[in-house]
Amino acid sequence: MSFERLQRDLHEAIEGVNRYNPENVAELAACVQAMVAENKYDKDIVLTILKLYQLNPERYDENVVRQVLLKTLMVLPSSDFALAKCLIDTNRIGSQELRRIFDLGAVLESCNFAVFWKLMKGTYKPTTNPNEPFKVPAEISKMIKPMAGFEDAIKHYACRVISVTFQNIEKKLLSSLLGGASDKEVTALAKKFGWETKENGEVFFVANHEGTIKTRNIDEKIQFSHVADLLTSNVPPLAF
Amino acid sequence: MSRRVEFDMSHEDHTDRRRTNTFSSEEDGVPNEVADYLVYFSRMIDEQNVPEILTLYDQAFPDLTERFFRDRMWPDENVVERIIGPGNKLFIILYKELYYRQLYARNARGPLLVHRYESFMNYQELFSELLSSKDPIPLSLPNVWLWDIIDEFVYQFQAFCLYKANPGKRNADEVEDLINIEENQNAWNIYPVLNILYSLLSKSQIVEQLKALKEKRNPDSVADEFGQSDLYFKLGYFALIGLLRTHVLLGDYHQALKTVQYVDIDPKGIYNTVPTCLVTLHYFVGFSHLMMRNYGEATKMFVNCLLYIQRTKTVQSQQPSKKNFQYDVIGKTWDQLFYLLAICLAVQPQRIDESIASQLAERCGERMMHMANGNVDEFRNAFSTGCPKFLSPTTVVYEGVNQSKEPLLRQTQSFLEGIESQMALPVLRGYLKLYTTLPTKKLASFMDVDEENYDSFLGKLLTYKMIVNELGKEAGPSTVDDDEPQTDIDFYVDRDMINIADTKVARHVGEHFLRHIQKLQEVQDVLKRLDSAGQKP
Repeated sequence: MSFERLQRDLHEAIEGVNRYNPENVAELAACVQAMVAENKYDKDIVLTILKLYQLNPERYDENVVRQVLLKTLMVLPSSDFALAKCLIDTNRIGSQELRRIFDLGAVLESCNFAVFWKLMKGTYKPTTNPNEPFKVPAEISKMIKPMAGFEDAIKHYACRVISVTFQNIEKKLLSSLLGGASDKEVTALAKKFGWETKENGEVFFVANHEGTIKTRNIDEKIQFSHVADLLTSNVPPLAF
Repeated sequence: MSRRVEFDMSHEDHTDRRRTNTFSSEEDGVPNEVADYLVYFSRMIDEQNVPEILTLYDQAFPDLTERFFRDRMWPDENVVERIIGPGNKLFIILYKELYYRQLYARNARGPLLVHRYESFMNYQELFSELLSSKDPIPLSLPNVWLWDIIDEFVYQFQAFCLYKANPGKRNADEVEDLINIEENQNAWNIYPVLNILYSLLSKSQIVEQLKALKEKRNPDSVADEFGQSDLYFKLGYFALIGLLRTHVLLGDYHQALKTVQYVDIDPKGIYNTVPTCLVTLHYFVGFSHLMMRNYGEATKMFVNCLLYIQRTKTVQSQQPSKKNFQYDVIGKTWDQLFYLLAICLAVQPQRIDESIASQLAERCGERMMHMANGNVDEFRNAFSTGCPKFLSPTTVVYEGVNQSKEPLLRQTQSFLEGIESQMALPVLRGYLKLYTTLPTKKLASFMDVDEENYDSFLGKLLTYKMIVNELGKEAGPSTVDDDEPQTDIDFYVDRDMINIADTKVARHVGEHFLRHIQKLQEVQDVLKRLDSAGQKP
C-alpha cells in the first residue's frame, strides 16, 4: 500500500487514546517502510510507533527503530531525532547498530558536513583513538543506501543553516559543504533558496544579514509614572 | 500558631441525624469536633456550597490533622460512614481520596502495597462515577481540589512505577501481591491510567472547547451537557495538564506539548487560580522545550514561573494550611527551575529579568561558568537536579538491583549527547566577544584547528547560528516583537569574514536608586522617632 493511503488510515486509528493501541504496530511499521521507500515523512507516525515499543516491549523491532531514527535525521534541523532518542529505553541502546546511528546523528547535529560527506564517499580515515565512532566507515554508507533521498535531505539541511549564517558565500565552499556538488546542482539549490549569483557565478549572495545583525547599545529608560509615587511622597530631609 | 476554622453548628437537621444514629464518636476515638466536621463537610458537598467546601478542604482539614491526627491516621471509611450516615457514596470516595493522600504524604518510604492498590481502586471508583453517569453528576468542588485530584493521581502513578522498579522498597509478602497485580495489570498500569486521563478529555470535549475559545467561537457550540458542566470542563482542563506531566515523565516531549497546545498561557487561564497547577504547567512546558532544544522558549517559561513564585512567595508562606504533611511542590520546583535556567542560558545566553538574573548568579554563577567552559559534568549535575523523576512504566524488578533510576540516566544521556554537539558554542562565544570582525581562518587557528579540519570547524559556526535562530522549532523562528535583541552576541559570515554584533545593555540603575531612596526615608523616620523620644528627660 502507498504511503498516503497508510497515512490517512493511521491518522484516524491513532487519534486520542487509540494512539496507545498495540494492535496498530504492524500497520505503523508498514507505513515506516513506505516512508523509507517513497521518501515521505510523518512525525506523528514515527513517534507513535516508538511509543508503542516503549509500552509493549514484546513487540519491539529494532529494524523499524533504525529506519525511524534515520528518517528523523532527514528532517534536520527539526528536533525529531532528539525526540526519537528520548523514547528509546536504556536496555535497547547497547545495540551496535543503534549506536552507529546515534554517532552519525551527533555528526549531523553539529553541522559537521565535511565528515558526513567523507563517510558517504568512502574517504573517511578512522583515527586510532579507542573512542573513534566510525571504525568501519563503510557501514555508514551501507546503512544509508536504502533510505531514498537521504543525501538530498542533508543538502537541504545544509542550505538552511547556510541561509542564516552567510551573507555571501564562495561557490567553492558551498559546493564542498554540499558534498562536492556539481555546478549545476549548486545552481539549482541556490535558485531554490533564492540566492543570487554574482562575480560570474563564483559567489552567491545569500541574504542581507548586515541590516538585522547590528551592534547596539541599550540604555535604561525610566518611565515617569514608575517614580511618581516616590517623588510625591515628600519627606523632608532630616535636619540636625 | 494554627488558625482555627469555625463551622456552623447551629443547624437542626444534622444534630437530629446524629441523635438518631446510635453512634458515639468518642468510643471510636474520634473527637466530637472531628465528627461534627465530617457531618458538616458531607452536607456542604451535598449542597454544592463551594466557598464552604474550600474552607473545609483547604483550612479545616489541615488544621484538624495538626490538632488530632499528628501521630495517627484519620478514621477509616467505616467509621466515617457511621458518623455521617449511609447513602453518601460520593462523599466517602472523596474522603478516601484525602485519606490515601495523607498516607502517601506521611510515609517517607512510601505507603504499603495494599494501600497503593486500594488508592487506585478508589480513583477508579471516583472516575467511573464521573465518567459512566448518564448525566453530569451534581457535584461542585473548588478548583484547587479538582487539580489536586488529578495531580495526585499522576503522582501516585509515578510513585508506583518507581516502586515496582525498586525491590528494596517492599517486604516478602508484598512480592507475591505485586506479581499478582502485574499479571492482572489491574492497578497503576499505564494503560488504565492513560485511559482515565483521555476519557476525562473526551467526556468534557475540552480540546474542542479550548480550540473554539482560541478561535473566538462559542465553546458551548462544540460541547454537550457534560462539556458545558463546570465540573467536567475543569476536570478536563486539569487532566490536560496531568497528561502533559505524564508524557514528560515518559520522555514524550512532542506529545506533551501537543497535549497543551490549546491551553493559552495567559492571565485568564484557569491554571492561574491554583498556584501548584501554574507551576506544574510552566515547569513541564519549559522542560519539553529544553529537551527539544528550544532554549529561548524554555528560558521564557522558566523565568515567568520564577517571577510568579517570587511574587507570591510571601502569600504562600503565610498560608498555614501548607505546612503539615503536604509536600512543598513550589519550593522544590523553585530550586529546580534555577538549574534548568542555568543550562538554557549557558547554551544560549539571553537577557532575562534582572531580579531573577541576580539570584541565578548567586546560586549557579560558578556552575554556569564551568558550563560555559564546556564542562559536561556540570551540565549533567544541573540536569539531574533540575529534571523530573522519569519513569519506565514497564519495568518490574522482583529481585536484584534497583532500576528506578534507569529512565533518569537514559534521559540525561540523550540530553548530554545533544549538548556535546553544541559544546563548542560557549568557547566560540568567548572569542567572538573580543572582536567586531574576525577572519574565519584566524578564528580556526585560535581554536587549534588545522587545515584538514577546517570544514568541520565551519560546522561549529553553522551550529551556533542554527541554535540561536531556533531552526529546530516547528513554526519557524518566532517574530521578535520588541526591538531589543535577546542575545548579547550575534554574527554573520561574509565570505571568509565573521562580522560580529554585540548588544550592550547599560546597567539598570533606576531600580537600585529607588530602593535606596525608600530605605533612606525609612531610616529617617526611625531617626525622627528616636530623636523625639530622646528629648524627654
